[in-house]
Amino acid sequence: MRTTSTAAPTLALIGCGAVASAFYLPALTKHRGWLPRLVLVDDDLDRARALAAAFGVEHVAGSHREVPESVRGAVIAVPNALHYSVALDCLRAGRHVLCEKPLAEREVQARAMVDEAARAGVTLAVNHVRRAYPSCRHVQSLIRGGRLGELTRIEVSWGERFDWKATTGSYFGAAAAGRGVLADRGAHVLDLLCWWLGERPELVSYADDSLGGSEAVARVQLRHRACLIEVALSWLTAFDNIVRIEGTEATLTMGIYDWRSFSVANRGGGETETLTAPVGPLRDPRQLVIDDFLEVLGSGRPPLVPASEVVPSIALIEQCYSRRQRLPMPWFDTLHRLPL
Amino acid sequence: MTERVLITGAGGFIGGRLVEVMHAGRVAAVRAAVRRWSTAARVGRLPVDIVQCDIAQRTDVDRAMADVTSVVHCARGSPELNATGTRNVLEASLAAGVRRVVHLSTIEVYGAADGEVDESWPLRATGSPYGDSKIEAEKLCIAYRARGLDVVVLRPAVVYGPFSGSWTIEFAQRFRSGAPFLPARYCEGTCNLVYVDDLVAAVLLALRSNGAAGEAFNVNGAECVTWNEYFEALNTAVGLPPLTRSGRVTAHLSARALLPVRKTAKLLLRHFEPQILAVYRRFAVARRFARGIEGAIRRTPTPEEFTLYGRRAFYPTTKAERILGYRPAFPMREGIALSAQWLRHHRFV
Repeated sequence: MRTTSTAAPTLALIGCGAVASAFYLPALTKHRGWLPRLVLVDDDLDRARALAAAFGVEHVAGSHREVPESVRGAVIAVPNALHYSVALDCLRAGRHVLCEKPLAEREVQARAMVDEAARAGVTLAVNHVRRAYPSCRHVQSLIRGGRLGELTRIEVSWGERFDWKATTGSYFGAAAAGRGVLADRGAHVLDLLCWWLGERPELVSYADDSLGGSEAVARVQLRHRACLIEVALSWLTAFDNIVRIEGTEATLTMGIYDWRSFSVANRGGGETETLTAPVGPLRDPRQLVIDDFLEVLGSGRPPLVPASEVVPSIALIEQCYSRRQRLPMPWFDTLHRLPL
Repeated sequence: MTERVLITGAGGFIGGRLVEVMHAGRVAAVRAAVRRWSTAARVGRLPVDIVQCDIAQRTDVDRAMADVTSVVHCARGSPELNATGTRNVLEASLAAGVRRVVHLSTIEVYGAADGEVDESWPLRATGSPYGDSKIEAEKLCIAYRARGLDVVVLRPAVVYGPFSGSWTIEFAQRFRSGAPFLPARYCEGTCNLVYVDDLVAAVLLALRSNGAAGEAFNVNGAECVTWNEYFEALNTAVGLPPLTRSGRVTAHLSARALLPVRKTAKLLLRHFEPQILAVYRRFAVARRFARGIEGAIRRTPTPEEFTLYGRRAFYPTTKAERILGYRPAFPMREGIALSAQWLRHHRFV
């Protein structure tokens, strides 16, 4: 590890890709006291040094195994396929961990991570930023409080061109292991559904457009009691980006990016009510995630999203991939007409 | 497969389809070069070798060229990129000893020619940044041919189909908006439609044809249809009510009135895209405003469109048929039907 400071680092940001520069580091700069105690970790040391210079961080390291023992907490922002191994190393070293979503690729891995955290007596939190949205938290309380009645149908559409300023190709090819938009946007959506419903819905069908690589369009059908759930995801084109929850009493509609408000229309008619979730001063939910983890490090209280709560959605994603079917794509299947 | 083909511009409409066909059809091992990872989602669906390659950077191009036997150069961008990037691709291809380069040009190199425009027509600069820069790129191809590089130039007409922004998605969205479209009298020009798979077929043939070296070929569809015929057929295929048409004066006035808005939006996006996106995602009012502006821009024709849809030029493919063995296989009806299925799949209509 290279350092120019006398302050021993206590927090490691592991992975210096786009999420580190676009989200974690700007959020950490709001906590001036933490910057001197931060170490940036990346196997591309030039990248780590460049970010360190840009954000005024003094410590860098080429591997999470090289960080000093003084580090008590680790934020894991490496490619998805590495979450499990890197997090496990950190937990075994007795460090509190905030891991990017998805926590792991398989349920057995997620459970092993949760068990390891318990064994080591440390916190394992997950960055499911939408759980920090006041609107999403309010939706959960309305569903559980019966405001919508018995749920009959849920539709979630989230399509937007993939515009993530990724610094490596880890979303594609061998590094992604054939996991695309479902593991990315779907991880948020399926986690919200499991969280709102209080349990994992049953998988009815799953289809995507993978041709051996990372799917860019995915359709998931789920069932929870009498409620049919349809999820449509895309990295290729923009959808309506709406969450619509129909119940026997009312229908709730929320934009996928609306983190403060949504509307509720009563089934018997009458005016559509726009509800604004209770929230204090205007704070970016992404900031809340890092604020929460730093408080966990200080106080030892449970995090906003404990890893144990996201295991059902990890299991659901794994189940989707295991039952993967290809979406019909007649415009693709014209190869026999070409002079190959 | 001993052949390894580098496809530049693989994140784009035509490059993306080439990657799909070459990989899935087992034509060659494919290296898909994308300018940014954010454009790789389509080709990322295939287990192909994807590399980040800014063709303006010679080191990027050299790296992408390693172990490559042929190159299909689809990347396009600003006039500077079209010139510098093409030079880099040709220079690196020569240095790497690749067997053949297929360069994708455009029928715009003929300028505003009318009538039956074959490959013997002179290339004419018109002041159009895209067309003029493609002329410069073709001149580079000729220069590198003289230095011993085997280059074939293809000049596609109006390429439409799944993933086509300009000629498929934008029209479908415009029709869907229900806003009155240009008067029919302005759309009686020749459309020169070629379905993307027909262009891909021409590329495959150009890669292996013995007599193609150093030649340039028009690539067009089999039918000579008008823009009106295309618009009506696409509108019907996506299941929309019959097109309504605006009056002549209204069409001209709205095109002129929106010019400053169009220019300002372009300028802002070029310089402040990340900030605009951040605001867009955070505030509902910003999303409504942006969609309103975007919708108005999309619905309103540009003054250039009046000229384009009225031109009566046809680009025959006799030379490509004779030398390459090119035979367009997708009539408009079928190409549009496939496009409409794709548009529905992606919820454009």
